[in-house]
Amino acid sequence: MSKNQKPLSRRQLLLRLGAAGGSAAVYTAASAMGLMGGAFAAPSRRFALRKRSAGEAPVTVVIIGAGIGGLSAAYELTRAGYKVTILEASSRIGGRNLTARTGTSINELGNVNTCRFDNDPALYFNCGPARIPGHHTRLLGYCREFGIALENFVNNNPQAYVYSDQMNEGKPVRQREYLADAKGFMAEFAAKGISRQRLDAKLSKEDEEQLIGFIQSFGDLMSDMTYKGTSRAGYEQGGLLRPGVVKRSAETIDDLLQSPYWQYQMYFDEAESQAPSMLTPTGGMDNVVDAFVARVGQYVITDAQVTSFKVEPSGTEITYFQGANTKTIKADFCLNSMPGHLINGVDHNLPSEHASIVQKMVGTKLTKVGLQMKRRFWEDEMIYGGITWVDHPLTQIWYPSHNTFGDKGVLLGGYCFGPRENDTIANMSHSERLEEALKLGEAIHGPAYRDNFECGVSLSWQNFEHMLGCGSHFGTQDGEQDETTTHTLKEQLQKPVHGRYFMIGDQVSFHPGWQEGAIAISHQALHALETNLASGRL
Amino acid sequence: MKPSIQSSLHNITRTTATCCLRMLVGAVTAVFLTSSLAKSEEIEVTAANAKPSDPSIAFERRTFGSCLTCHGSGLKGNFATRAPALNQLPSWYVRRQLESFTADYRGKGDSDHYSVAMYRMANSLDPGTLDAAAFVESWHINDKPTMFETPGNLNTTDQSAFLTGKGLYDTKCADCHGARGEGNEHVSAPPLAALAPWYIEKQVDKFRSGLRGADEADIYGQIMSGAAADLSSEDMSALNAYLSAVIDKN
Repeated sequence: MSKNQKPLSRRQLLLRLGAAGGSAAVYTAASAMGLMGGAFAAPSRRFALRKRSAGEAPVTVVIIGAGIGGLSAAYELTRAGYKVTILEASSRIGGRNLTARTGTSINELGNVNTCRFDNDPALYFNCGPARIPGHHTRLLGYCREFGIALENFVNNNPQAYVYSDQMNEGKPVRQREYLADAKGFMAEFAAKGISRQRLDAKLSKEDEEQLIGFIQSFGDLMSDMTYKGTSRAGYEQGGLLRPGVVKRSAETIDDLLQSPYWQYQMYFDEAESQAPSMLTPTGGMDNVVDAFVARVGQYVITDAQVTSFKVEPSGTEITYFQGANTKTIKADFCLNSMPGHLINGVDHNLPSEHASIVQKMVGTKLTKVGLQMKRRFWEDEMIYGGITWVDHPLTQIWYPSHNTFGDKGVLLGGYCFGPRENDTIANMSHSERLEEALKLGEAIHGPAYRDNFECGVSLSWQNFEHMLGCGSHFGTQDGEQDETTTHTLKEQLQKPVHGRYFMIGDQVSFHPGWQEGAIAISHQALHALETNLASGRL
Repeated sequence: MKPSIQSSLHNITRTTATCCLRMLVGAVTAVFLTSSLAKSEEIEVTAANAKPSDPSIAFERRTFGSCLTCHGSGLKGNFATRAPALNQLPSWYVRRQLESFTADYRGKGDSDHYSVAMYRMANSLDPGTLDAAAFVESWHINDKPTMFETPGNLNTTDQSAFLTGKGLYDTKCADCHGARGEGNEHVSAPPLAALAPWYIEKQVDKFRSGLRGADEADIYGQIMSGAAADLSSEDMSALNAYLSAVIDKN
């Protein structure tokens, strides 16, 4: 500690420890909000519009885009007696909720591939959303209402690996070893710091002992406050019939620092949206789409590509291109989930204060690779579900949470979300992407990875028909964005135009990339729509 | 023939604010006069730009719909998807560029995601059944695009860059692309007046770095390759200042 820095007060210290410890900080935040508070609080009752009676004038709504945002809006509107039309540019319904199974065509522009998985309900690949955290109450509410069977989704598994060709001589390390050693080294540093200098005059002897105890337990240090390994990492040998010899992934912290794992993945599953336990529909995420289609599918017009729309204080008018025909439809209200960067290419009369914000949006880059394996060799490595993290543009390998000990399985062979790394993968052909995934996988799992590979699918959402992005965000081509600016701009876009036009979709939520974000925005728009209608000011 | 909403909108983007307002009022009055809450109804649009109107064009919605996804309604271009405007490009040029993509003169080996996208798209078309150039031509709105003779208001800094850029244009570009960017088929020079300055700058960069016009068999690309080599980065920023002032594209 330099002379210029004030010693930490007890409160500051505990706060910082809380931040480092994670759970304490979460507890503080949770208490501050009230345990049931916050945006994700379970609603006391489901969202519902007031039902319109038969005597009331019909109210018409055109929804652009049949993704989860559009479908959930259509469902709520039709339940309440509104007249709804959904215009969907592509031939399929579901937006980014897309599950590939045998025969599924994945239409990247100029780069179509067809899924050749075996015809087996257990062999599927969720190309878009794949997991649902417990606090996504709106989506889970629909799952309950529609009777969609859910199963547990293993999002984090310390038995899976951390891999970097720069670390541990290019051999994979179990996450538990990495985590145990990383915490041990950190604790040792902290303990040394305390012994060198009393942190704060206000820190009593008792407090200091508590702190030492905390650090020792955090890192599983020896009584002399040094780190010599821990059983948390697992045993190199013994531990069952013979005394255990603990594993060490690294003798010093230097080796651990070679892997970028520490930068963010170490506490990946502490994030609210990634924490256990998570859920997923049994048989594929598109069960959610199917359930909506069973209820509102009759209102969807597919292959209807919107080419212009007008919003006036008196109503909205949407023109779309279908086959060789151009058609126009009028409606009292319009909900638009078209990606912002594509709205830019469409003729519209949005006021400049709204349009100029949309003009700042670009498509988000995200690529996924799915591989069908004829044998579940990862189970031989004691891995059942979870994610291996790799220092490579493909970033992750996921092991299926379902069908344990089944004959075959589909791995996620790559999940690339870095904007720059994405071009490397997205610009490859499908077969090149699969080859890249196999090369990576065999560095971690050995020859079994390639030997068991049967077929695969890949999808770069930035190339996908009628989307050209995994959503739309504010930023440059490289995906950089300024958070503060983004917040202001999104709040602006959430505001209706003339009380009749609402931009919807996860893109305008503060929880983009999640179905819950899209549903929450739709519910908010419908609430405003109903309020505007009741106000009599339209 | 009754003017459609679409054609009104089309024009809005291309006219002055005053004119825009007048047309908007007209269209609004026509469409929404009857009730405060519009009735949902579908209208088959039969206006001139409800394209493609030529039944001889082999039409495949799934493929050509994708042209509009990137290049925007009426193929007017979209900066957000880095897709150039095609609606004023002559068909000889569009055809030649599609051929450049399939001949690997353009897009091959380019790490630019957007170039790769068009490279793939062009190579996925079966020229026997899908005539993309004819589809593009069916959305054509202007055969003779030209640059403005006089630019809009420029501040002093802009004025200086504008004049430098104009000088460069007149001496290094105008011979092939025309004094007012109208293009010249004989030397395969596209009408620059039909393209957005950001797109032109990006393409000059590609010519300079060998991503376009490097193949000896690409006789048209080779001409521009030589011309681009003669332009410095400073030249390009001055040219960009000039083009931005005289081209009606964002």
